[in-house]
Amino acid sequence: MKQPFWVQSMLRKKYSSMLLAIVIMVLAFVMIGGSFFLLMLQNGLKGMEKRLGADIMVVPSDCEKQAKGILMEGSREYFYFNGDVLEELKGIRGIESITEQFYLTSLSADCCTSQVQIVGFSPETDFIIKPWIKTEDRSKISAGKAVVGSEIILEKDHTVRIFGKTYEVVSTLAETGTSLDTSVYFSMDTVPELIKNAEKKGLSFLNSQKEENVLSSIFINVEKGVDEKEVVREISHRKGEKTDIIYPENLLKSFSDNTDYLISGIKILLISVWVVAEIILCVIYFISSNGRKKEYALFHLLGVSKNKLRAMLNKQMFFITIAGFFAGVLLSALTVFPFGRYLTRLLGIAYLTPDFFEILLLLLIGFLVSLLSGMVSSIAPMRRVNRQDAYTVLREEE
Amino acid sequence: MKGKVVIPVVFILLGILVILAPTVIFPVCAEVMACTYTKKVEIGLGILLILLGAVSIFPDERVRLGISISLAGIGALIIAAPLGWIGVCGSNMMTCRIATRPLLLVLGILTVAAAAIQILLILKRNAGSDIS
Repeated sequence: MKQPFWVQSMLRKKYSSMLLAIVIMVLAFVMIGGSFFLLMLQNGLKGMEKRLGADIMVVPSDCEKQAKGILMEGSREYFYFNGDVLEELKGIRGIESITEQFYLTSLSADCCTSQVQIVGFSPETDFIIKPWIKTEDRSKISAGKAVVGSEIILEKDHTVRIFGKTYEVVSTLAETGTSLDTSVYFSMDTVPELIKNAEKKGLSFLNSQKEENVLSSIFINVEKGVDEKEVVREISHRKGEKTDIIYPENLLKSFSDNTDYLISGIKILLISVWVVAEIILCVIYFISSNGRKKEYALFHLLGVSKNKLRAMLNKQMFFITIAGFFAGVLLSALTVFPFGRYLTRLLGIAYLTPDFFEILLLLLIGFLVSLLSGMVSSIAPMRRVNRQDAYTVLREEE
Repeated sequence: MKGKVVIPVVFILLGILVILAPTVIFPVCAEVMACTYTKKVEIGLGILLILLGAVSIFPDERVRLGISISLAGIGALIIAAPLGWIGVCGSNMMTCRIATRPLLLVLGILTVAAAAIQILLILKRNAGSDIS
């Protein structure tokens, strides 16, 4: 089969065409990979916001660091104080809502498939977990029933087995990319039973975990218009020596400030790569078209109109761009996409699986950038075709 | 001629990476779990990949064609092991699931691709002769 004219002309300049395609491949790879990274960071922040759903978090004294670990890194910690603290704090003026949670030692149940954190919460007052439970499921939460994170693998009959006992699962939370995903939530009154079953299975517990009426943390939302500091002052006044206070929103703010630096850093990097790639493309294409002056002139003398010649150059550039773009997509599919979850874990941020449209958007960005770069780099050669006078060119070559 | 040496070298490098992936690059869980057996199998497959890759420099095209087909099969097994065949741990908190498995999948895909290229090159070089 005879190849079309524009393909033959491109194949004659095999190496410069390949070089152009490689530059576009690198450009597409960096654009797609970089935007994927940006997307992960932004999704991660969204996940963080979900986890930090209170104005003030009260934890036992000297446990500030561990509690921050739970909030920011999704680490599994446990610490306890006496439940009386809750009763005393409830009376403070300016508190809109207050709820408590109990963390049970992180447990690895069956092999590695289900290392879970068990969290006790009180469904009546809760405002941390409930927003992520479907409205129609909220009323079903009761003693002996579980709410599970998205990563928990359920039995076929929609139950979860913990310490030999099967619990009905009321609701599965949406993916947050945080420790919420690998936790199982029970109402507070189920916690003693869980401890008992676990002990039967040979797990040992700290004495502090077995006492009745112990809590791990208290979450507080402050009424609108009330100064947060006033409430905190009152908490310290009443229970200062026993408690540490954490401001989840401030934590998020300092975290998102850091992430903002990272995000702008990546954006600058992406733009500089684009500029450098564009310059390289222009230079390569310009030099290669310089060497083809005679070829263009001959085409023209042989009766190929300037329009046709321009169309041929366009086709070649388009083909090179597409080839480079697909190679870039392949490269990022092999190197960046599979390791997204691992990268976010290294950075200590939440991972949310990008959905179909997000991926499509990334590819579109990569494609448009590649196409635009290809087009820009062909401006100079095009102008040459427009201006060149075949007779003078051929005379020069003699 | 270049393809006759380059692709075998690629196989040897891939074999080394398949061995290193679950042991050094992203070590799997220390306790004995599904990922432990996947690691053992992948080490075996990696050794096979290196040996057959090295032998595929052999000049006889028929032998090379046969070896290439078996290398494609080894690539498929490298992919299958961390998936359903043996598997890795179930939790997304585990390195074996979020790092080792994707790396092995990528290496497996590259092995199959390299074997396919090798097979096509051999068939193309010998087009018309009795080998194809």
